[in-house]
Amino acid sequence: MKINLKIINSHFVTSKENCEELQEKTLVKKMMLRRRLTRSSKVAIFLANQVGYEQERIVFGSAYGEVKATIDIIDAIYNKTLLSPTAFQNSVHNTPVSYLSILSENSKEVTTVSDLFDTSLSVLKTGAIKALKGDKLLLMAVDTFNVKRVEELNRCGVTDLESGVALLVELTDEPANIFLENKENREVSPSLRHILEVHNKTLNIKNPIVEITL
Amino acid sequence: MVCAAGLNKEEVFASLLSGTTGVKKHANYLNDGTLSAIGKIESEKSFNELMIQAVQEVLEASSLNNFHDTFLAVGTSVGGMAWAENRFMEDEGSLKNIELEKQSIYSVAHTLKDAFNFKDAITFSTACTSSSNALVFAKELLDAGAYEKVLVVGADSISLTTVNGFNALGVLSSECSTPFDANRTGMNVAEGIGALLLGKEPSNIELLGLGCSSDAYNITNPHPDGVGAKLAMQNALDNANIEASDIEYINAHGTGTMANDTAEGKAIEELFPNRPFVASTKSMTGHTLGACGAIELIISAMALENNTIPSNLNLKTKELENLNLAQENVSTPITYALSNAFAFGGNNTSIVIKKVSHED
Repeated sequence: MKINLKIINSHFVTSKENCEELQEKTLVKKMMLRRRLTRSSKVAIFLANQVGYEQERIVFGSAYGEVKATIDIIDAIYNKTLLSPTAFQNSVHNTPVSYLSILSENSKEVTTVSDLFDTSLSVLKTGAIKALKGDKLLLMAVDTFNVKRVEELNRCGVTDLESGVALLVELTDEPANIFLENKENREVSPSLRHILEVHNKTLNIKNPIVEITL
Repeated sequence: MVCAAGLNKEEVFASLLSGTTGVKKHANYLNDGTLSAIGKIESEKSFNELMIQAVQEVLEASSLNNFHDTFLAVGTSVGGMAWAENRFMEDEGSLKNIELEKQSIYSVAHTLKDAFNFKDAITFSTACTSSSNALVFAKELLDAGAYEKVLVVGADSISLTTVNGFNALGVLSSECSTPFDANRTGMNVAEGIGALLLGKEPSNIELLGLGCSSDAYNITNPHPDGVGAKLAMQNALDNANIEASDIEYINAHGTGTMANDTAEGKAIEELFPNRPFVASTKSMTGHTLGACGAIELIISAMALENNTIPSNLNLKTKELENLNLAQENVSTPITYALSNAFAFGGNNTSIVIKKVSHED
């Protein structure tokens, strides 16, 4: 089955360490909420803003989830010290889009997928099926792992430790002009490679439409 | 289905009807050395072996020879966290031997794809609604005609992270949970596996309607009035094209925490004035986290097939008087049931199922 999605808008953000352009003070005015945000949450909120997200349904993807919270928790367990409740509540894979739904007062469906290096392909496939309802959707994949001991985990040699891509899409009957070729990108986490390929191909196309095969 | 209450669906349902809980006290989980009441599966087999066995049993009960043309939709909230914790402890705090295929959320799909060679797979990870969201996607795939068969597997194993994490949040009970009781003391972390094969051919049970919503309220606590829960249930009713008065049984999320049960109870009271029977099975299975949606949908289907609603174990004092909580097993004809699952971040999913009469 093939489903064509019109890319209404897209954005990509990446950094070797920490993305500096996330505008969290502007986008998250409540200080208490801002202080609790994880790095992936800040990236997700920024990306949503950049593509003109309002209150669309969301399909989010992250391969590794909340790496900092996960390492903090496992360190606490190993050292038999107190676990931080904030670390635990921020440790689930849907944390970034949960904060986004709270911030945007969005009561619609929000789902999260995680399939390691095929994570963003799963975002595109899930988004394609959900787009059959006819509404606009925010598709997004984010992975951030600029954390202590990252060198023990980063065996792919990824150089950009924070990256995210967002697409605002809707179903279309028009013919596709973007076809996934599974292009590699050695700088960014492989979990983002499919959605990043789509974003990169939109840059030189006037009316970008991607074909998703299920 | 495998969980602390039984090693297959018949055993689990028998435990539910006899009021036998799988939740027991264990000494080796909490950081501070105190006992925790959790739902651990009692088996000599590993969790992955049990998961493969559960899927094999579904395959053998089906008309399929294999799963080569079947889509796999997985729901898990912790994936291979328990494996990673063991590795981390054995390696004295080193991360160097943590393998992503075994540690990550993807580990469940990785194990099952290796064992059964599915055509394709996607893993949903939305905390305690993970397998419910996998079920939602499975129905969407079938409705779109993308696949003839979708296997949904909800699977979460006990990990130190979840037991200590829920303890840090102050919601872990040291006793067997008592959902919807005015004097409830919290939840029991548990492990479990639920596997369901969905397809287009006639069946005794039909997946009729799905409803999703977001609370947009708080990262852990539900909206106190159950606004998101009510919206998910209403969306499921609308999707099923039935009225609230058609629902006769609600398998509640009913975790046993103060926040969840009050919010969910209020939402049910408001949306279902006809007062369907409400019961949570978590006092017997424990809270199987990302697996609970799949496990409790199987339990709901068995309640329909057996015309019997398992009671709320140990419920003594109702908090919400207008909630029609089953205080003993109820034998009654049931056609429509609704199963709820709610999660961190205000992620809500409700599913309506229908018992199909072959005379229809």
